[in-house]
Amino acid sequence: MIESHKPLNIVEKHVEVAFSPSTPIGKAVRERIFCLAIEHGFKSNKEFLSFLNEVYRCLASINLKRKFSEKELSIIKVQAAIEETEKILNLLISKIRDLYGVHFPELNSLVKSHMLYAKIIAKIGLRKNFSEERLKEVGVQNKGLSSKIMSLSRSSVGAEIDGGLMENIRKLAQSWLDLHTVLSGLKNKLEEDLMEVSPNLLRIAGLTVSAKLLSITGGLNRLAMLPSSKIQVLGAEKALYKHLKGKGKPPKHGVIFLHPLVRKAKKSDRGRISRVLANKIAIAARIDAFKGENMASDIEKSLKEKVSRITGGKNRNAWARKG
Amino acid sequence: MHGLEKDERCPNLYWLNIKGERKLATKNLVPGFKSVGEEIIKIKGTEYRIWNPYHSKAAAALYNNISLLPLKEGQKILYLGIAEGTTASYLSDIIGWEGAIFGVDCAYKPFEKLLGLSSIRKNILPILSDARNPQSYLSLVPTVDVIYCDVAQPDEVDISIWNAKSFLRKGGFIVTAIKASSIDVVLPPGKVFQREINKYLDEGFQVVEKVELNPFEKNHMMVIIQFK
Repeated sequence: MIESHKPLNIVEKHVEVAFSPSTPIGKAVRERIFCLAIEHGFKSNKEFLSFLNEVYRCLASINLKRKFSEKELSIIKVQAAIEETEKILNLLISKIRDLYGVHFPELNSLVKSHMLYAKIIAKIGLRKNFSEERLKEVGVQNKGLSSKIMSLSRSSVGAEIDGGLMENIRKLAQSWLDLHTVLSGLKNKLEEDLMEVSPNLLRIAGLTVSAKLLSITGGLNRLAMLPSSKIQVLGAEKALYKHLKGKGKPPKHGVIFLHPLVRKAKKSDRGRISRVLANKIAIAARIDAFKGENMASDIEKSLKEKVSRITGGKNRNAWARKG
Repeated sequence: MHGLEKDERCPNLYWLNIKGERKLATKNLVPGFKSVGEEIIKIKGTEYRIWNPYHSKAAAALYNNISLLPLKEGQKILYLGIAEGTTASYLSDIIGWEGAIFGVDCAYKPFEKLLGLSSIRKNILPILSDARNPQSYLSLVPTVDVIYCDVAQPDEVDISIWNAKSFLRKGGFIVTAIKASSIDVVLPPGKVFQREINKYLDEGFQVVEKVELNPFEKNHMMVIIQFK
């Protein structure tokens, strides 16, 4: 072994030496790498640097490529795209309802489903074109609703609109429908990816919540490292920090609130349910990250049992005392 | 006309007088280069890049009369948390073509921009890695003169200490921008700074100087530590 204080002549002797950078010799080389480079053929510091620069950029782009091909990254990006698309869809449909409302204001309150509303406009259009068959074609199954729409379309208080504007509204509705199919395509992709990366988490938390949790934490490994109390309030940072500073109540739930178990529960039960749910999500994420087995049905069973105890089961009072 | 005035604390660092305001600037190493749309001023054929203290903590420290920023021409710097390389581009102005900045960051998004930057400025060497794990880039970084640490993590000081033990030469400096609000939101900033600085002292480092970065950055402190 070469002593670290002696000059190193590795390249001159054409001996290839492999050493770990943490050993003394590695340290010695790292200390005087710039001098060594000039001793062994590089003309100047600058030349050596531009050589290094090339190498480092190559390495970095390889690592970057590896990072970009990760499934988790794709999940995070797709989730962001879904959120934006949903926002756009909501904005657009309210404008469509606004525009078409001039012509047929009664339809707005009759048809609550955005999908159906857009379909009616895209496929039928003007009020005078309405008929029972065409309504049935676009998917109005309910006989009562269909006849109600028909009678109102004859006696509507709405103004006539000219063909040019109607054509544009129709196109707008059509593009809303198209965008909606894109959205469901994205959701299918997200579900596929999640099924592959974290089947347990997907089963327990559902599509939206698991994707959001992953995108907040930045990956499955990081999510699996978090305590469940942190998972419970992920997404409610503003309220949490306000509470930590001594102003306001602690938040009961962050993005977990989007889970039907929490959202549909009574307000007084939500805190307890979201705590249990966060526990189970933490377990599921850890199994996905470190074990890779599908144990979702077991977790789901115990989750359901615990939730039913909270919501009006026998031991309701015991739970309340504990909480 | 611009009242060019050399700043003695670092090489290639100047104060310019623009419309009655004193502004910090560096001599542009790559003429024509801009990093984030900053003002470029030409005086007698030399370009000077205005260094905005609101964008860069090192500039904020210089504005707040830090007595030295331990940067010299030809030095090797390990930059933890380099991000898009805005500050790094100014540091590369200061150290010149002979120096090198080893920029470590684990965020992939700003890294694309950094790759573009390093293709222009050959003295910036990008490393996509987590600064928490110095072992992973041990073979890529030689012994350095300065570690510049700006990672905004709760364990920022620990990160800089681990890196110093692996990479810093004896007598070298650590320059850390401590962000109180990313370490502890509840504790008052003064206490956080004291606690973090004590971590350095416990490890046998010497605190050379500390400067708060008000009003450019809230609850930040720039500390300069020497490795004995």
